[in-house]
Amino acid sequence: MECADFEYFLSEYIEESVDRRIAAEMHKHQSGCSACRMLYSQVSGVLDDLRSFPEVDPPQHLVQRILEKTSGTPRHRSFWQAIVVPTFRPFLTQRFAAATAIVFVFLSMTVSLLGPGFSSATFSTLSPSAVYRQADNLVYRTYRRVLRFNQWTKEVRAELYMWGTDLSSRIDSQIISALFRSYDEGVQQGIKKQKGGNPQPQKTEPKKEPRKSDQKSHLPVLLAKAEAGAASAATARRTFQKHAGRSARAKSNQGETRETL
Amino acid sequence: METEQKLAQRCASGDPEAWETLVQTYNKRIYNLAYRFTRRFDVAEELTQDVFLKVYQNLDSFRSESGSLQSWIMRVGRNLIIDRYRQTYREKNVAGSEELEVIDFADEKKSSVPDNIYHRETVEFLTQALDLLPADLKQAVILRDLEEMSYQEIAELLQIPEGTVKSRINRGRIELSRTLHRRRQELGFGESAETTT
Repeated sequence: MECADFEYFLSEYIEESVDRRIAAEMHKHQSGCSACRMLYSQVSGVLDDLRSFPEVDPPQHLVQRILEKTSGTPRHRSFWQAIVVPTFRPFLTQRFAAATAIVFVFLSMTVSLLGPGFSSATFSTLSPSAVYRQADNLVYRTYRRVLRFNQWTKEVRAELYMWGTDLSSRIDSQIISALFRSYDEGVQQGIKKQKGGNPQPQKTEPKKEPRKSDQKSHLPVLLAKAEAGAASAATARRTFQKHAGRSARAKSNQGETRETL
Repeated sequence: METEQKLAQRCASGDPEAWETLVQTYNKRIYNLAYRFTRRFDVAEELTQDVFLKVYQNLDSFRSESGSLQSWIMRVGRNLIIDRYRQTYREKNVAGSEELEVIDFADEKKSSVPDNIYHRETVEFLTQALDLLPADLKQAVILRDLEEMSYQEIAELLQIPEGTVKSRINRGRIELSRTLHRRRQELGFGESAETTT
């Protein structure tokens, strides 16, 4: 096949409407001829471009002019088409619809929180003073709830703190008493051994006589210290509770004052 | 079919709402066809008005048995637009042919033009290349590749043999692609043989 023949059948070849035998020859020719291969590619590309050729929008007044020129009657448009649709068209976009939905949800939540109960609503409940009263009551109720929550958290924290302090002081005193009890027993056993054992003094180095303070048991002193620690923890607990109770009383007093007002 | 026939009858009997519906439905297609041939917005608008005037005057002659209302309107439109195009081409007096308007994409966000620089360039080159084609090749390419008409329909419309239609379309496409290729190379958008193959 010659290049001129290839060109002649090119459109039909691209549209796949050419005879099979010719198509086979064209395919064979194309694989050996770079110029025809390039032409095939260019024409195919142009066809793709033509398929995506854009449409232009006619001017807005075209329909009106056609109607005037043809039927001679002005454009007939209903109230809905003439006024309502053009007015609300910008508001019917997806983006605006989403924003409207969000605003609607927000407003409905606000009204349900601040507004009157619609089940028992009367005309008077929609008056500005009634709405204000509702809003004021809501703020006050919220404030009281917050105060109560704060008080409760303080009490819980105080309880936890005192419980921890008590526990640690008890553990401390138990451990210390157990340690010194064992130490005291050891000392007592040593004294007994010295009394009932060998009376000869040691030659190498005379053993020192134990002092009175050494012989004396340490247990009472340490127990007294542990008790003092526990007492101080108890005092701290009382002080903390007293403080917490005072602040709670002060908050409830504020609430009562507001209620009376 | 019945609906179209009824619509045509209502239009012919002077029902303004029916006529407005028909104009609303088909004005864009006719306007685009006119614009593709003339490349001028004002001429396209004038031609569209003339097409609808002709449709309005000949509504009685529409028969649903011989095809759809859309085909009939488009046939009337193509006949008138091509006649006018031939006339102006013969007279070598296409109104302001050297001042052809290119599509102003900035004003056409509503149309389905992708916001793509390459595509814009392509459309502009294509438009210019189409204008450089001889009139007979240009109308054949427009009717086949933009209006998506069959060879037979084009042959009937242009009143020429189907073989001639095929030949014109083929030559038009080849000429168009060569012009486009040359234009791209001149402006540095050149595509090498390697990339195109």
